[in-house]
Amino acid sequence: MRNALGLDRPPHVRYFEWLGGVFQGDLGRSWITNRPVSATILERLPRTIELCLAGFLFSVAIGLPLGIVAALKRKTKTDYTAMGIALFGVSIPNFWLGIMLIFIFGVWLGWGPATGGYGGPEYLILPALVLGTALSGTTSRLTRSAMLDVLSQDYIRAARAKGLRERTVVYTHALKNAAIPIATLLFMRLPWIFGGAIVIEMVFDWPGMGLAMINAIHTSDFLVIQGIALMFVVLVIIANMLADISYAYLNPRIRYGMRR
Amino acid sequence: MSVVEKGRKVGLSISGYFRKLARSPAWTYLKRDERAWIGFALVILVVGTAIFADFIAPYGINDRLIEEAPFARPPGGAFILGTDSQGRDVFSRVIQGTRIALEIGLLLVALEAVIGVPLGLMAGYYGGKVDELVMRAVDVALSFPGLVLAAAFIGFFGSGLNNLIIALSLTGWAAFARITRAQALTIKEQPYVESARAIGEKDRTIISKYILPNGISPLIVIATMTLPAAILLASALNFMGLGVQEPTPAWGAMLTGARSEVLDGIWWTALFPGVAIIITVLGFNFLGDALRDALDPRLREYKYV
Repeated sequence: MRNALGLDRPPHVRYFEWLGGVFQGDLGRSWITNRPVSATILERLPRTIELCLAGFLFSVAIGLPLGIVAALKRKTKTDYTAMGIALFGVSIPNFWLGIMLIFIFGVWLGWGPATGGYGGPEYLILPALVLGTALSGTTSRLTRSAMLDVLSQDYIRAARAKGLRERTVVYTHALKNAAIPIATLLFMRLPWIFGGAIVIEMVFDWPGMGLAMINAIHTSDFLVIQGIALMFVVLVIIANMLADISYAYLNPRIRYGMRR
Repeated sequence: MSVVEKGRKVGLSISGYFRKLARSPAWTYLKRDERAWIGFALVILVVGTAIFADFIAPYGINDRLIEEAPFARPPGGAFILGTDSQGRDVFSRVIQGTRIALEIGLLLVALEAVIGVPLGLMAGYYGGKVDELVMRAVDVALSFPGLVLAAAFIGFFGSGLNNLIIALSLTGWAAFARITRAQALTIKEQPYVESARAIGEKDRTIISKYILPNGISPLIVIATMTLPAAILLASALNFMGLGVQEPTPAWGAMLTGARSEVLDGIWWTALFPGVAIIITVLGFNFLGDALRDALDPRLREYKYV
């Protein structure tokens, strides 16, 4: 038994054995189920990504309009209300919001699957919405400040001066230029959604990597924890690369190789 | 009292900072800000609750008050927020939970500051290789989702209050390091630092007596803004069973069981701990935002980037 699990060899030897395996796509096997960790990850990774992308879309769908409206109506009731909502959004624990929504929609109104789980869109909508609200607070705040920056620029005054309609000024001139910092900041924030996803997966019993990780932690299934943590690191690196690429792509003034 | 009056140095002491603050435009600004007052009121409420928890809570946190099923009784009668599935008073547990939430939050922010501030001071003051090294580490820590790293850390080293705080500080220190570095970079160019160097002060003295006290405004803001985030993150870990364990009445931990109880229509064990978290977090967020706008509006960008 000790030999099969490798417990008779010192930790550093086992670490390099594990690392050698990683490069060959072998993350070891679960001590509890004896299932290869890579199989668990491959099965659950798409579900976690599905949840994160849906949550990301929700956060943009809620946060972007809120931020734009707040910037346009700067220092009015609308602005304060929008920013109040945003502050409320970042102050609500998203797992609690999830539980409350389960109670309201699943139990009380009986509209959807109360127990959570994985399946069609009716299983996805609530967790994605909850994941999205947590992020939409920050999204709307950074949209607002990016828009305010752009709206104070000379070319906006020039566009207004030449008599363009306010709508044209806002949508084609201001928004296009604000898109650069907004997109970059959104992608930089993307990794944070993985942290939220772990909690949300637990609330909604969504069988993704996060739930697998929590279960592994509770059963001390180290190779599973290790494998999933590694996968999250890879996801974070990919998200950061996306941020860099979007930055260079959206902003022709900055190209890598020309800097420094 | 500025240290000049002691006839020795041109720096500024920390208590002098607050005295100066009371006469500054920032204070006038803060007094007129509604968010500051709302935030302040909520924070007083929360801190007061934590201090007087033993007097406010009508029952003990682990008293089983209901003898026969169903143990979970809805709000009303002797139990204003109802009882949980073990027949314990929800109100008493929520009240006592305030203490735990603040304890975790304050310890975490203190640890993050203790790690981040010295690193930021060194990076900003010495520059060069030290700066490069610290800032790379800051970049990594800032780009990595704290909850994922904390969960992995707890997975290997076990749960509990201490590990919870250490796990969350692994990424949290970076915000402090970054702000402190930015402060040190500007302050070290000031004439009074130059004169301190001219009279032969040691680097260590310059950093602790001149740079740190003069750059403390943004640190106070960052600490106030980090606290609610810390409380939220900690409650999420408690909820997942990775932090403080039952029967300790941590708000997050109380919600773990509530998740399945709502399916039976027991909503009160879920609702009230969450409301307590929101009041606390909202209070510190309001106060933090108002402090930031009054003391150092430039910090806006740090919260969003």
